[in-house]
Amino acid sequence: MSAAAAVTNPHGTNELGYQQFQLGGYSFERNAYFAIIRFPGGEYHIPVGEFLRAVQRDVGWNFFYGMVKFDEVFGTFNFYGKGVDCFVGKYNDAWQKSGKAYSEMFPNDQIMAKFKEILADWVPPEFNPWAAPRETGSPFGRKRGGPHPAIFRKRITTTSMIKEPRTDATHPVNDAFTHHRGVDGEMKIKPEYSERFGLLNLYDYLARNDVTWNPEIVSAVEYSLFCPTTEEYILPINHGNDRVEWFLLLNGQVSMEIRDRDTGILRAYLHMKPGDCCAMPADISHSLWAPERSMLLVWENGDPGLPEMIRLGQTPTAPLEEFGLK
Amino acid sequence: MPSLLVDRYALFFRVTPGKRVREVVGRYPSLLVAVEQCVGIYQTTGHYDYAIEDQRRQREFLVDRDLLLRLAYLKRHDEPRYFEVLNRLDREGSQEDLVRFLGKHASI
Repeated sequence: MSAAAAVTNPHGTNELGYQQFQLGGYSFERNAYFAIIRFPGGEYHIPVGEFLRAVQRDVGWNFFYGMVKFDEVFGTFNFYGKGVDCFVGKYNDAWQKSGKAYSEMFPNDQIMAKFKEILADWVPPEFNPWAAPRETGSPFGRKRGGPHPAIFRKRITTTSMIKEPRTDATHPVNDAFTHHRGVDGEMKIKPEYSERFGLLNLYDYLARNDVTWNPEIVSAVEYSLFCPTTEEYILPINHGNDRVEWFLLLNGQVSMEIRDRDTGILRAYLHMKPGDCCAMPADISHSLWAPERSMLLVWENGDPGLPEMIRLGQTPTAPLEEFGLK
Repeated sequence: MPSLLVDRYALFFRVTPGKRVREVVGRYPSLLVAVEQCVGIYQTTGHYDYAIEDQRRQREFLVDRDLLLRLAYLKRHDEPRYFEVLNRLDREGSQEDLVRFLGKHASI
């Protein structure tokens, strides 16, 4: 089997059976091992497993808050209703200075539809882009059916608070957490208030999580969003913040590289242990890795006006400044 | 701090022809986002005279009431063309190109 870029046949697929996709000035093609992104002025290659895991997050999170970098070079920047900027090298110091950077904006619906088409055609049946590597098959090789049904998974986005416990039938405990279980508390609720209160053990809930690196909104109070997630191996994207973001590590271990969001230049390394709380400035990007399955609580301020307030200097970019500290 | 390599479009209010308010409204990474900001301010305050300065390439787009309405019209009635025109101008082009594109694709 050749890993080289393959010729497209009259049916619109290459010799390995994969379709090529066009999005504005971009074309996307995959071979056995790589996704190839062509754009006016050049082309760029990403290992196909990393590419599919990143596209899956971008689709699953509806382009998320701010920037989703698939690696140091390629990614998307969400301007919410205004559109999504798809870029190559625009937020990379070396690419910027060499004049190689390219970007193009698309309506959210258009780029979302194209990324979903790519997932549907390129994800093999045994490769789950949401799973940790030990839990799933290979993304490599020729087309052999597919896609894995997990690509259609919907992100949980509750508008109040999740109260339904997960069960063995729907969400079995992950192998990594069989000896690490939460203990339910006890709550007595007057019948007339049963709809307004609930008790749920977060450790048990997360022990049954069927995905990695997928902060899901399980509790919302206006713009205050609690988004716990389970982490294992490497976060498939670098997240470039457009607002302050808080992390609280509940167990395990998570390490982080923190870079300037606009240039990718390294600012800091961080190794979080259980109980560590991390508040990230609004002008950085972070990449994460977890050597063991870990539980992380992500706390977001979902106020849609924040990016513009930060752009206009009306609110601080550093968390401590929000409390009047330096 | 914003990088001029990224947030290269500076947006200014204009008060009288040829005269802009000194203070920058904001800096934006693409022409489309800067134009969207103009439309957003117009819908909020009614202001319709802007200068968008590409500080990396020493060029400037002046958006008056006529161009602003044409841009809003184009977005509503032909969104793919709206993105195409502004993406193209983001890479290359001038004020004359903006006027010509909108004259051709947004006749109101």
